[in-house]
Amino acid sequence: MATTSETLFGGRTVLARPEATTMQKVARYMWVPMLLMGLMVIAASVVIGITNAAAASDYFGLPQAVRGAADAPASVIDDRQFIESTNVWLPGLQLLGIGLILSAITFSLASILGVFRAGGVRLQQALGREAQSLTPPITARLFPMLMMMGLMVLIVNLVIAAIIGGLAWDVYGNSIAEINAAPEGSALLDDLGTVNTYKTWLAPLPFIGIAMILVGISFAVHTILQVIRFQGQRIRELAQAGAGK
Amino acid sequence: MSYQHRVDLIPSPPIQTRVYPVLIAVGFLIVLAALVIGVALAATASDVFDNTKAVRDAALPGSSLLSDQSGLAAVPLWVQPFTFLGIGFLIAGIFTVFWGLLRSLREARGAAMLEAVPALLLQPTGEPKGGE
Repeated sequence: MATTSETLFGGRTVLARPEATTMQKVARYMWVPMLLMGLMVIAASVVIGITNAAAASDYFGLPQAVRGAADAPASVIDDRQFIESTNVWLPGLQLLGIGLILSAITFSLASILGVFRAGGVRLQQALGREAQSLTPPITARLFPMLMMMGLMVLIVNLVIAAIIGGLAWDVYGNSIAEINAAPEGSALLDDLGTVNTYKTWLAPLPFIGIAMILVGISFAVHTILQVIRFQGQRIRELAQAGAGK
Repeated sequence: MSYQHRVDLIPSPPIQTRVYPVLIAVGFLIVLAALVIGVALAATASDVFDNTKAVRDAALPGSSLLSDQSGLAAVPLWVQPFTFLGIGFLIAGIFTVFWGLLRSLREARGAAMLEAVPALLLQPTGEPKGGE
C-alpha cells in the first residue's frame, strides 16, 4: 500500500518496457485535434462577432423612433433578435475555444511526461541497470481530471447559454414597444426576467472551467518538475552504484 | 535495490513549488467568488424584472427597486475585471511552477548529469534489466 508521501510525491516502481501510460499515449495524438478545434471555434467566433457588429451597425444606424416603434420593420426586429441572442451565447463559445486550446497545452504536457518516462527506462536499460520510474504523484492523477471537468463546465455553460439565447431570440422577436409594455405576470415579462437573470451568472461561469484547466496545467508542470528531480536522483544513484559507493 | 527516494542526492525542492499552490488557490477563489457574486446578482435581477418597465422607470430615489437596478448596472462592471484578476493569479501560478521547473532542470537534473554522465560512460554496460 502506498504511503502518504508516495501518494503526494510519487514512489518508485520498476518498469519492464519503455512505454508511456495510456493517458500519455492518448495525449500524444489528442493535442493537435484539440488545438485545431480551439482555433476553429475562435475563428468562428470572430466571424459571428463581425456579423453581429454589422447587425448592430444597421440597427443603431436607425433613429430611436423607428427602432422603438410598435410597428418597427421586420428587418429591425431581426437585427435586434440577432444582437441580443448572440450576446448571450457568443462569450461562452469564445471561452470554449480558449478552453480547447488550453486543453491542447495540457495534452502536450502529458505527452512530455510520456517521453520522460519512456526515455528514462531506455537509458537505464541501455546501461544494463534496473529500470526504475516515478509512480504517478497526486498532481499527475489530478491534472487530466481537472482538464476534463473544466471542459465539461465550458460545454454545459455553452448549452445553457444557447437555451437562454433562444429565449432572448423569442423575447426580442417582439418590438421594443411591446417588450416595454409587457404587463406584470405576462409570459413576455417572465422571459425577459429569465434572460436577464441567467446572464448575470452565465458571465462568470465559464471562467470556472478555464480556472480548472489552468490549475490542471500547473499540476502537469509540477509533475514534470517531480520527474526531473527523480531523474536527477536516479542518475547520481547509477553513477554511485557503478563506482561501488 | 532500494525503492526509497534518495533526496540526499539532489537539492531540496525550489521555493517556487511552495509558492505556486498559494497563487493558484487565491486565483481559483477569486474566480469562484465572482461566480457567487453573479449568482447573488441573479436574485437581484429576478426582483427587478418581476416589475413592469413602467414600474422600473418610476422607481423613487431611495427605493429598493432603484437600488437593485443600480446594483444590477454597477456590479458587473467590476466583477469582470475581478474575474480576470483571478485568472491573472492562476497564470502567475503557472509561471511560478515553470520557474521552479527551470531551476530543477538546472540544479537537480542538469548538475547530476554533469557529474554522473562522465562516470557512467566509463562504466561497463551490462545486459538490459527490466522489472516484473
